[in-house]
Amino acid sequence: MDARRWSRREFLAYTGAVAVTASMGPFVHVRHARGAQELVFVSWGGAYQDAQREAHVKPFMKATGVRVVEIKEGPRIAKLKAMVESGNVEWDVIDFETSDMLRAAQAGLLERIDKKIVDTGDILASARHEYAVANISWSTVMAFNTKKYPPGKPRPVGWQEFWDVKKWPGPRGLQDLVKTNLEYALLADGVPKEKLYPLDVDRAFKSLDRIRPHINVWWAKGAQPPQLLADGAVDLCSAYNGRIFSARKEGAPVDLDWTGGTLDYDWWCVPKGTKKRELAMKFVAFAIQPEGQAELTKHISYGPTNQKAWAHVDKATAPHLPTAPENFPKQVVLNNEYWLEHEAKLIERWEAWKLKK
Amino acid sequence: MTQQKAVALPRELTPRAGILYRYRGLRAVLLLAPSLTFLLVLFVLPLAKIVVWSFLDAGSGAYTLEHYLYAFTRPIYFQVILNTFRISLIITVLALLLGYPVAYLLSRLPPGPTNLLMILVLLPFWTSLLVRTYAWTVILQRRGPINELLLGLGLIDSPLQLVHNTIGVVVGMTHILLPFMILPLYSVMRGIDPNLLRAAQNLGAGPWRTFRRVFFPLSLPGVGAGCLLVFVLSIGYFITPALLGGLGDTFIAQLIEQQVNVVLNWNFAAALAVTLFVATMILLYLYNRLLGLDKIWGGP
Repeated sequence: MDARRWSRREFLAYTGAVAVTASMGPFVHVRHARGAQELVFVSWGGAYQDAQREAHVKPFMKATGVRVVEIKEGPRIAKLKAMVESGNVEWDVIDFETSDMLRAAQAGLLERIDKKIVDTGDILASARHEYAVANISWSTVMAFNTKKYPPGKPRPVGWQEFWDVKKWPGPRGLQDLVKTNLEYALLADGVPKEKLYPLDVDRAFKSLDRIRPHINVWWAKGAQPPQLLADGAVDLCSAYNGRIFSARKEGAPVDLDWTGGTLDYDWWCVPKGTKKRELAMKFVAFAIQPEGQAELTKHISYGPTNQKAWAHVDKATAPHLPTAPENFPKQVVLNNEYWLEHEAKLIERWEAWKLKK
Repeated sequence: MTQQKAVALPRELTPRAGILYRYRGLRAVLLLAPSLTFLLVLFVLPLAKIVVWSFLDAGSGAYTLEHYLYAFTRPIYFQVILNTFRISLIITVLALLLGYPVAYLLSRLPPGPTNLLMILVLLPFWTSLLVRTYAWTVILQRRGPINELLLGLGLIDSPLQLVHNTIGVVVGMTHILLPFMILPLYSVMRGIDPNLLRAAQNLGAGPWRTFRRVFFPLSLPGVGAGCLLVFVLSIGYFITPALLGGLGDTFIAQLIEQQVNVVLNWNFAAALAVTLFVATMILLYLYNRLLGLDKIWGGP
């Protein structure tokens, strides 16, 4: 190229050529990538997804050679609905909470679990569903600050004592969520576990009225309770058991009690219309194996749903899991069918209750 | 906008792309076309879709007013909208009181210090919203630095409840929205001719009178723009009120989010969103009648 300046025609020609070549790039790349198989896995990020990666994703990639792409944004059922309705389903395997799973199944957003690929024989009865398989059990429990209530000294046990502000004074926290708060309110009012459902909503709200002035924080995100307890903003707080366990491992002055905790599941789901349905089912079948579920408990204290997994679970970890034999009977299994039917109305009543002076 | 008549230019001065040089209207349309298309496809059309959704019944696909009737007959929704407006108004006024002096200082300083201070104003934009919100939780909490300081100085006997209530929401959101008040104020104030102020003082006005009679009225477009921006942004927030607020500090966006994400009733969520939109438009209409929106564009 000589030293004279480019004419406009030359400049345009060269730029055009570069642009055309560059735009070919993606097409060349795609043709190459179609060879390798890929699966998109969506979960909730943080310590939980890190644990799932070690227990399920990495072993699956090693065993099958399939590339698993992780999304950590937390699967939103609204987004799933938008994807399925527009016919452009990008997710292959989702980790859903029970209420989301039931709603998604009701709305026709999930594929039926393929019994030919996924064998649910060893899975707990309450952990099986037509459109999903439960992968973990997790609980919302009462957590406390161990500086205020050191081990070996008396401390409140159960929701009746949580409600007893005279015997156990101090700032408290509850979740800003009507589901579970109504159960706690009824348990605090003396309703026996077996008679909880269907919930006596009026009685529950009266019970909540009594504790309301003593709640300093109504938390919105799962990461808040361990922080609130460690900072001394509250002495007692409802919390997700896995988060408390992880915080305690890191040295935070927090601990939990299983009495009156509400047990729930998370579920493996496959979105309707995913292009890799068989591969997704294979992943689910792989993930519910006892070894994978036991491996998960090493990283986060969420209980297995495969009964054969207990043989592989670490003896030291077992007592910290919601479905452990000593913990399970103390808790209430959340009745998600009840909530599916009543949640919308109760959310509204809860918001109105919040605004009452 | 009047169309300029075709001017007969001498042959040798007419460039090849003659039509664009002769018809100003056409040039304007072509220049605006990309942004207008962008706005139309990505903003106007989805908004129209939401309005249509709000009139649809989820199951049957028939047109219905049930969502609006529901929103208006259950007091909770209106209460929360009023709540949102009330708290947003407090935030706007506080942001104005805090932002006006800062913008004034920025507009009167020489370029060097101005740039440094401007970076400080803009710095919050470079941190995540969630991080800033959590940071306020730490600062305002029972055993946080503020309470510890006041307790240590003996000014209070037991920690003050500064967060998880309206105070927390107002403080946190004012901090987050302050740059949106400072920047419009600054840009208007910078345009105020210092000679006008000198002329006023030459005529015998003291500094306060100069400010009150000359500077402040000239800065009103900035005040209007800043307040509008802060208010409209504030009513759309939901994560900050959820994390910093108490029971009574629910914002309407939180209820809409529940309908979208938890209850999956998108038609009702659309009705709530449209209600919020219309309520805001009514407020702006009243604002216009009172103060004149065209002041923002520097009108009379």
